Amino acid sequence: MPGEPSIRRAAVWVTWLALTACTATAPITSEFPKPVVEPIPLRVGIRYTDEFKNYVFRQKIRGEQGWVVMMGSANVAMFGQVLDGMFEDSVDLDNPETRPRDKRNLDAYIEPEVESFEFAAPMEWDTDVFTVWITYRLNLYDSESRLVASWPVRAYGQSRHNVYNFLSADKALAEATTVAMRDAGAYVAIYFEDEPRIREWLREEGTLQKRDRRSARGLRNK
Amino acid sequence: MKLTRICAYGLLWSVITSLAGGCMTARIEQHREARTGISDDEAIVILARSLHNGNDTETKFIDCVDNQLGKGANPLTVIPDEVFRDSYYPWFEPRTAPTGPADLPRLLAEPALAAKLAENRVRYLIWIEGSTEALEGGGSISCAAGAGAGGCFGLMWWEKDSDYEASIWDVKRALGSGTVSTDVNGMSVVPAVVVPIPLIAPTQGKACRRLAEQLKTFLVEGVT
Repeated sequence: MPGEPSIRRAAVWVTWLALTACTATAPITSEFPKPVVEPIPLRVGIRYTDEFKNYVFRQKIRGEQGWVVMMGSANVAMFGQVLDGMFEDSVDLDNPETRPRDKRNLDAYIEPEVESFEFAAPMEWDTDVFTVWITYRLNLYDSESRLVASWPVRAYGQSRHNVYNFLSADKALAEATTVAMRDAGAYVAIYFEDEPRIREWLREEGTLQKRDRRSARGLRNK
Repeated sequence: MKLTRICAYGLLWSVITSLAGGCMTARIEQHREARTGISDDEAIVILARSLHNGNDTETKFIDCVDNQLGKGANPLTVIPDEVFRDSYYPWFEPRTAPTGPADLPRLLAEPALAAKLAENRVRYLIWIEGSTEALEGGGSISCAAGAGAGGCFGLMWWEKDSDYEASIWDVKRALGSGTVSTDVNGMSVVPAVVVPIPLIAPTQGKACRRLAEQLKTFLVEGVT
């Protein structure tokens, strides 16, 4: 049958079109700013699990529009920037470009995880906003790979959406997700030292005292 | 003859639009708490209060105020909202942003943030709250079409209100300088005689220009 491949190709296209017409894929940006904070004097290694790097949220309820949020590369980009700004030195342990000698003599390791992702669409709640809730978990290990703290970070984001504009729903969901991710990054950057177990560990290591001494020296030199 | 008719229609159109545009009332209020003033090398930032707090200020309005403040007589150096939030991340995110001028000393105690604000000569943070809303309206328009002909007849109208308030915080002196607010109310009308002609009252644009004008006076002249 000479026409068979083209019929099959057409069938594939029709199926793809039908599927994409019912599913919105939110495109999350991978551009996040570096925090403006006093760096903690530590050399930290960052480990990203495969699940974290490739995190995709999918929701499909029968008879309703489906949603796909691809957060993997955005997660890595956001935590990369935040942790890089928070510590004096940070090393991405999964990056093939990281030199083996840079992976040695680290003071601590951080492994972020996505614990949950939830959202509310405006059409379900009769509002004009998308709301996103993300819970990350930040696991901090010492240089001997002993767990110091497992810190849940809850984040929240909202974005405005015109319910009559069906075509921009994916962008609005992406924006709410980005706001929630930035919220998580902001919380980590500002409150990392305030988490009780982390604070205790930093004191035991003498890290905070080291930074205080440095700040005092900096003030004297001004 | 044809030219005269075109001129007559043009004149009628401009009268109708100016009448519609003129159906607006504007109110400006100012409350000063401290002396102001700004030098040429200092910058200001216009920030929308967060949607998280129930605020609904349109991005378009913030851009308009930015634009108005940056041009004309005594143009000011304005850092755009998004650029500022990125440059000073994480201090101006919905959860972490200061809620009042009383938070400024705590914020300026952060050495990295204070150093960057000083380096970029950021003098005032101006927080905008408010939005443009369509209020009550009435009337109706009916349209019909037949073979070779069609048209609409009727009249619709609605009221629009643009209500905004700007809180001015002085970064250099770590205090609140005052507030400037504007409220522009206008009636939009759509008369339809064969063709519907929307005559929309540009309340938001007017509120933007009035607020920017007053802000400039407030900041540049120091005491008014």
